[in-house]
Amino acid sequence: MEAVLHLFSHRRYQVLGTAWLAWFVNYIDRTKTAALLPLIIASLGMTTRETGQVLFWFFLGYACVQPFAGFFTDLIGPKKMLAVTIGAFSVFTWTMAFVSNWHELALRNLLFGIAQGFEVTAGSRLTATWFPPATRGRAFAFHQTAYTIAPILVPFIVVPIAQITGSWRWSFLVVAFFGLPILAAINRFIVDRPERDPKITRAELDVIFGEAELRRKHGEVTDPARAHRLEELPPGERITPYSEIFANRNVALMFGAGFFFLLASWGLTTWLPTYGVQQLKLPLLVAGSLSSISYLGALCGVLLSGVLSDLVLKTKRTPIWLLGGLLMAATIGWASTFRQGVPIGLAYLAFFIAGFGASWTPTGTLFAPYLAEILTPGAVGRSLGVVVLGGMLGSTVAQPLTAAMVVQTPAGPDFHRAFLMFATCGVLGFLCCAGLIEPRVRRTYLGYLVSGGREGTWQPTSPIPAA
Amino acid sequence: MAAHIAHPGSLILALAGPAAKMRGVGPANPTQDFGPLWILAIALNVINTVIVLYYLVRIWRQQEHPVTGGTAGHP
Repeated sequence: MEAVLHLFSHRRYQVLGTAWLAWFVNYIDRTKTAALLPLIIASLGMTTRETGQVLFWFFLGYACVQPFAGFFTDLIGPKKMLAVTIGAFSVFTWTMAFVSNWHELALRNLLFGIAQGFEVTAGSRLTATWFPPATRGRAFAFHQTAYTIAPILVPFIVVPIAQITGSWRWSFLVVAFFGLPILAAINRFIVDRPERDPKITRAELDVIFGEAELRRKHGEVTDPARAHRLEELPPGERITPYSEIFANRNVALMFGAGFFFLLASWGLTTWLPTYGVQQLKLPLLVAGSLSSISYLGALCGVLLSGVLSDLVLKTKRTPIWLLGGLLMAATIGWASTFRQGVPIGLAYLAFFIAGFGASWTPTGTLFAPYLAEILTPGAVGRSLGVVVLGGMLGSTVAQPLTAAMVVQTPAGPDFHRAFLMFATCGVLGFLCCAGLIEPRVRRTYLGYLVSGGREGTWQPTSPIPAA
Repeated sequence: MAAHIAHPGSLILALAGPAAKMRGVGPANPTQDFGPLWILAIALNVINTVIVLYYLVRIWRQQEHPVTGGTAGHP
């Protein structure tokens, strides 16, 4: 306990803790509506098609803002962006309690998607800016645990409130207040950049930037695309023109990887319970727990990825994604052979590993450290917007594509082809990751392995600051 | 769409059984659903929104600058 208190006496951990809470609330937002849907459907008399529309509009809003989310984050700063998304969470959440038909619900879901789409770039940029490369992987892995814990906890909060009060509307009214302490924490703990924080100590700044970097740079141009000389920039940043951010093969490959990996992981977790009931003939309760076991695998995967990347792989990021793609493809390919009567322990093991593998991807973990290192922390917002857009497009097409792949047989629906599609997405995501430059070895990681551990010649267009 | 089926929240409902499933549904009209607590619901929302606006204005007005010429002023 004392160690934890000591840890949180450092400003960077206070920033990380607040960013974690904001990301957690973002996922509460997404999952609370899903958890209450059975009640809302009955209350508003919604059809399956209308329900699909309501869910679709959230993803559409979220995907549409991604190209702008990074720009706004870099323009107005992550603190203000984070505050706006949490404020929007609180206000839109209570408005959900007053809907009377599915059209209003869909409109509010669209607004939710738009508001929440700005959070990931803000939280990621803060983590990338406040942590040095040596511990950035672990810090960001901790940040990402929020998206695996929230889906596990939320139903145990919102469903009992609805059951006790007799209406799902009270769940929204109560949850709307969750945003307020987070706004207070943002106000108190978050500062956009470490060197602008009056409460930070010199020792902590040395840990974040290194002494040489602190001596060299005192600039005030926080946008690395607008600086012309290195001295204009604050510590930890390097000049990164727009061409380097957007005409960048690594960002393009991460866009592709994000598309394939999120298509597979959203398609899988959404359809798992239906697959369990219809193909494996499991009881609903057991079939539903297949999704939970997948989230548990993701939680373990995210935590382990940061430790492995920082300590074992010495701050290399791409090997984790290569392993994740292969693991995901192999496990889902194996699961495609499961039929009725498969031992439940075996199914749990397969979907735990599938969830674990799915978290070791450029949309699951380590994406902020990687973008900060291949570009610069000040460009994480804009470049991440592109990557998340790829992922959200994959999520949007996942549902209709999966439905089209399910074959109707005399014994019932067969998901074999859908699972093979997910496994293929794992392979395609792996291939995208194989083309990514690993900045620590200045070439692709596979190239580094094949050449017997020789470093390559890749260099950014402007010099990297000393760590 | 199976997203709501996928969610663990549905499992709690499944566990609770058909009678419990109906509990928490309520009428489509929010005024009827809240009943005599309608005023309380509105009051909670007003309080919530006022606090949100207070923090947003406060955070929006904050300006950040490097502390005393870069980092020289840090202890």
